Amino acid sequence: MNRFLMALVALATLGSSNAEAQAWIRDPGSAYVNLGYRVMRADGFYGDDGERFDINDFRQHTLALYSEAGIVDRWLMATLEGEVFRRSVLVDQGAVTGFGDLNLGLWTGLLEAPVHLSLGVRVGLPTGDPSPEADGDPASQTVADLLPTGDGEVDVGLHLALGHGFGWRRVQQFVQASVGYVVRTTPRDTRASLPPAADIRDQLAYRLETGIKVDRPFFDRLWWIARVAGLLVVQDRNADTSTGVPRIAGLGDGVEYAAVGLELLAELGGGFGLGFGVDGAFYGRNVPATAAYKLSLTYQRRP
Amino acid sequence: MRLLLLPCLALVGCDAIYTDLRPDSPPVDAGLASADAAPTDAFADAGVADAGLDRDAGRETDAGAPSAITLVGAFEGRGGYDAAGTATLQSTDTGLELVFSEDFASAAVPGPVVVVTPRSAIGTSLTAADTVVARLDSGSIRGANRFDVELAEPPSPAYVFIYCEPFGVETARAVMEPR
Repeated sequence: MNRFLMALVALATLGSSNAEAQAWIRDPGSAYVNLGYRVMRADGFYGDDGERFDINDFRQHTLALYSEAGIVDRWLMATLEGEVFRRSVLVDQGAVTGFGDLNLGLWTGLLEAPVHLSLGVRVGLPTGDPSPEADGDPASQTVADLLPTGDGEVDVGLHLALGHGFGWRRVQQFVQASVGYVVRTTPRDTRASLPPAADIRDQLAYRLETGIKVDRPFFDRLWWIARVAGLLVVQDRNADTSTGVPRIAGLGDGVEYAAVGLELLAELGGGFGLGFGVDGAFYGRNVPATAAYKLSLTYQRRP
Repeated sequence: MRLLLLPCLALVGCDAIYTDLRPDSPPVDAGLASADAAPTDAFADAGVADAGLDRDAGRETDAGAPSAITLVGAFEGRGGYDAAGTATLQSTDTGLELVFSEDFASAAVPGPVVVVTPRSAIGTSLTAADTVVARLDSGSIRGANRFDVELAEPPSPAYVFIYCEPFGVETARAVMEPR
């Protein structure tokens, strides 16, 4: 079970602030940390109508932290996740570097058999900067306005995670599905030059993934994982999408995507792990159209 | 867990840092790349005439029907981009039309659209106050052009923008004033 758990948590936190692998509630004294570096280079962008536009170079580097700790056996686990570093670059124009948004979560186990089912509440805190200051040059400020490091609002999500691990022949496998409804609110701060802040529409977050490991020398340290994950706007889909938060950085109103991902996770021993993965959206709205590459270092402490 | 929380919370609320990446000697027509040079210099290699208010703005301008309203404005670069040429907004027998002069030129951004608006700045997204007149392809970011505008009369005040819709960037603006 511990190996399943380690793999599940690791895959869910590589490069994404959306950790969706909490079907297994940690034991008290058990903790897990994942530090993931993620990079993307986009030459396309999915507009508000889902149409893909060619764009000049846009790059984004993030360092995402995910951690969790078991508090009460079976019943309570806490999570903290967020981007501790976020740098968005419009090549030859400008870049913004800063701290991203944080998410705090509490999860409780509903079922342990025949499958694991948990319920979680996640609160998104606007610790990033929704309106970066440039250097006083109006041209620079226009660029800075495009590259916030946070969405500027508090959001609350209610999530269900379902997981099951099993084996067949010399293969171990897990399957996990999660779905969550995220209530978004109004950004707290926008530039005077931008439209007035408006409510960000609520979203549905979903994720379906599976991973396998082969019980052979060397290969028994590797998890091969595939997933589909996405965000979908579920409130007032035909509403005016104007909002105070710029859209290029993948933050703010109207963000949707559906992506497939592949990851390889290696258990290094001593509780440490190393992962590499790639994700790419096959559908998107208001997000860069590109693949994201991820490298992560994980550590797990058992009780 | 507490050890993890402390450094995170210490950083909470920190403002982001902006870095200007515009090159000192910008390339001509570099798309999203900045171009601080004067419009005349930036487009000289492209064979574009001098910028500024062009009284002979284009065939359509001169040949149009007698106009009850005629507003003219010279394009100026925005957001570090160059622009040149003149926009003329005029009413005709069939409605409102927008005419670009022969020396019109704008940066080759990914998704440029022509916008008529009463707002002096669009910012990063369009609103209901903005009228998208046309999307410009790579062949129409230079030279004379004419567009029908789905407005009964020009907004007041009136601005014409060339706007990169995917990125929400203003690349050119003309402040429209009575001829």
